[in-house]
Formats: sequence, structure tokens, C-alpha cells
Amino acid sequence: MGELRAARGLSQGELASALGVSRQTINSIENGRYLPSLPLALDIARNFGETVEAIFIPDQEET
Amino acid sequence: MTHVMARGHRTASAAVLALGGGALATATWVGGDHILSIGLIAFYVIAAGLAYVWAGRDSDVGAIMRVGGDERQRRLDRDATALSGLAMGLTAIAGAIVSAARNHVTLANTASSASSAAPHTPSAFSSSSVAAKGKLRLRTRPRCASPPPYDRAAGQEARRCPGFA
Repeated sequence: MGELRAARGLSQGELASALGVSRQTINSIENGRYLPSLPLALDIARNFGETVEAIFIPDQEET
Repeated sequence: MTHVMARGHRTASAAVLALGGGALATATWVGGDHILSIGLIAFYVIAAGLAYVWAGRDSDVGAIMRVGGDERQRRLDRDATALSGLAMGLTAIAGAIVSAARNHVTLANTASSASSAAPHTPSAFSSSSVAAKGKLRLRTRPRCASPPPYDRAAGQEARRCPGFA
């Protein structure tokens, strides 16, 4: 997700403002410390014009 | 960098501290300890001010201290609340255990000191088994059917009711 954000020239704060969450939450999602809820994941995917599964790739161990 | 304004009511934690501290200080004042009451007021005013300032910061701790935040911060708040509740429950249980143990010891000491300080108390009062168990049984003085005879020459024994051992 961080690569998509950087490719669009957005800062974490700007993306957080667009999604209505805190900058810390965007940072946690990008670093894999927090798994967003389904509504937030859909919002993120919609914001980037991608699908959820294109942005959030599940770990092999968890599948 | 875009500054994300802290959302939510930042006065929540400060208000809880101010109200709780005010109630505690009032109770202490009514209890008669005026110096401690003034100290508590000063402490809680400073704590409420710090909480107000801290709750306005753009951080996870600030979000936990105010009402609001996004889904992750609300989850952190819930987890912190659950953890603090667990800690308080364990502290209350530990305090109850310590209090029960202290009462047991205090009552046993009271019984043993009562038996040593008052040698004329009834024998059931000074029993070592009672002191060991920490149970203190008081016997009521039997009522006199008639006014006890009082003889100044006879002294203390005459003050007792007849038949009282």
C-alpha cells in the first residue's frame, strides 16, 4: 500500500485525511502491524482504484 | 506534511479527573483532613490540565485519552480498558485477601492482648484456642434480678450481682 501511495505522491497524512483515519493507522497498515476492517479496506481500494485483493495480499502461513 | 487535527472531545479525561478528584477532595475536607484535601485539589488540577493537553496531541495515546479516534484507536482504547479492568479486578482481589489476612491477625492480637492485659476476664475470653482462631466472643453481663447489694466495707466483691462468676 505504501508503494501505491508513494506512486500517487501522497503523504501518509494526506491519505489519512482522505480516508478519515489517523496518520498512525495508515503507518500501521503499511508496516503490517494492523489489519484494517473490511469497510476501511474497501475505502482504501476505492481510493487507489484497485481491488482489495490487489492491495492486501494474505500471508501464505495464514491461508 | 498535512497536519491531521485530533478528533473527538479532548475534555473527557480532564473532566473525569476533575470531577473524581473534586469528589475525593471534598470527601477528604469533610473528613477533617484539610491539608490533604488541598493537596489533592492541587494534584488533580495539574493532572486534569496535563490530560487536557495530552488528549489534544496527534498520537494514539492522545486518541485513547479523548472520546473518538478511528477504528484502530478505538480498538486500542477497548483493549486498554479491558486490561485496566483486569488489573483493577486483580488488585481488588489481592487487596481483599490482604485485608482479610490483616483482620485475622489483628483480631488474634486483640484477643491475646485482651487476655494478657485483663487477668480477671472470664476464662473463655482468654482461651489460647480462641486467640489462635481469631474469634472474639463477648459474654453479656447477667442482669441482676434485684439491685446489687452495696457494702462499702465489703469492697468490690459486693458490687457484683449474686451468682456472677
